[in-house]
Amino acid sequence: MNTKKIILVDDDEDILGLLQIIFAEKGFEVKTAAGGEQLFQIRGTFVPDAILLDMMMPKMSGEAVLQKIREDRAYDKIKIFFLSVLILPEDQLDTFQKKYKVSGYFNKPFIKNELINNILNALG
Amino acid sequence: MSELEYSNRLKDLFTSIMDHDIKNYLTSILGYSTLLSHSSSGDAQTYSRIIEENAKKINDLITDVRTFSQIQDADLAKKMAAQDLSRLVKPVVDELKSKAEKKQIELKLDIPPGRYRFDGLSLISEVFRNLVDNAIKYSGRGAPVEIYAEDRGDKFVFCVKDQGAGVPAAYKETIFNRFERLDYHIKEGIEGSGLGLAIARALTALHHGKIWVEDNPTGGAIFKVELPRSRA
Repeated sequence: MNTKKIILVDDDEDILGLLQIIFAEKGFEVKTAAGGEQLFQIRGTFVPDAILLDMMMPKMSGEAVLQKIREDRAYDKIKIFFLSVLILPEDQLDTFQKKYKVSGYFNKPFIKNELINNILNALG
Repeated sequence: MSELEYSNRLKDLFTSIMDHDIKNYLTSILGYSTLLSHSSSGDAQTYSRIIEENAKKINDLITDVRTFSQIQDADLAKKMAAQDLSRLVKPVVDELKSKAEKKQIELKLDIPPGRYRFDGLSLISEVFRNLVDNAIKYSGRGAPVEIYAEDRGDKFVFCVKDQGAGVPAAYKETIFNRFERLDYHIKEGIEGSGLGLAIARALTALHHGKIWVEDNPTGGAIFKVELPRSRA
């Protein structure tokens, strides 16, 4: 099995550290970014299978990052997941996921195994 | 803003704090607790520290929210009493000394007793605590923080000078505005954390004073609070 690669994006340092441990434990090759700008820098040299994005970040919101990602065809094969404190009503969530082709939306606080298993399943 | 609008905005603000900040802190607490149960002793120390820090952040937020609610209490104006700046600031500095020492930061306090008197609430100590606490938080190791006051005729200015990264021009105004910029907060996330500076501005206004930030000419920031002296 190939090693899965993921970029984790969150402005909260503790949460970023936590996610890094969890994904590394499952054998992922992990890069972390404190925000959108850093993500696009990393993306220049590291092609991930998945990106896990926080929704509410200063400077560039998760949605703004996602819009930029979807403008670039090079990201088409990369699966995008969201991690957010925002609980979206089901219809809004559905529209949002379809609009941006989002592969999964998880709420904070998250359950470790649920998060990692869902992402692993989506990556196949 | 009418009283009803104000109270609705306040309710929205508290809801957004519960939604965003507290959930983020809980994410760390719950996540690291899960890791803790099957980790080596070295990792366990780090995880415990992160759990403790995030739990403290929730506690501080609840304290902040309580302070903010107290400011809304209409009877507060009647509770104003004669205050001496030095007597309010000294306990704050004493309390934060150990936190500063952890970063080898010297808190240089130079406010003579009896020189700066004003009519106010003892709650205004929260403003001084917030500014000194921020200065420690944003200062590098070993960089001293100066706490002093300046005479301005029938007013005086309380100052906290640090040698940290300073406040970029674009944020000099907005860092005090978390309350007014609620929409921004919900859509874009937060610049900085906590309600401290928004509370500081509200409390200062209640005392007919003002608060702002200037650049420290040698690098860093100087936060200033101007208050009217008592007339007696």
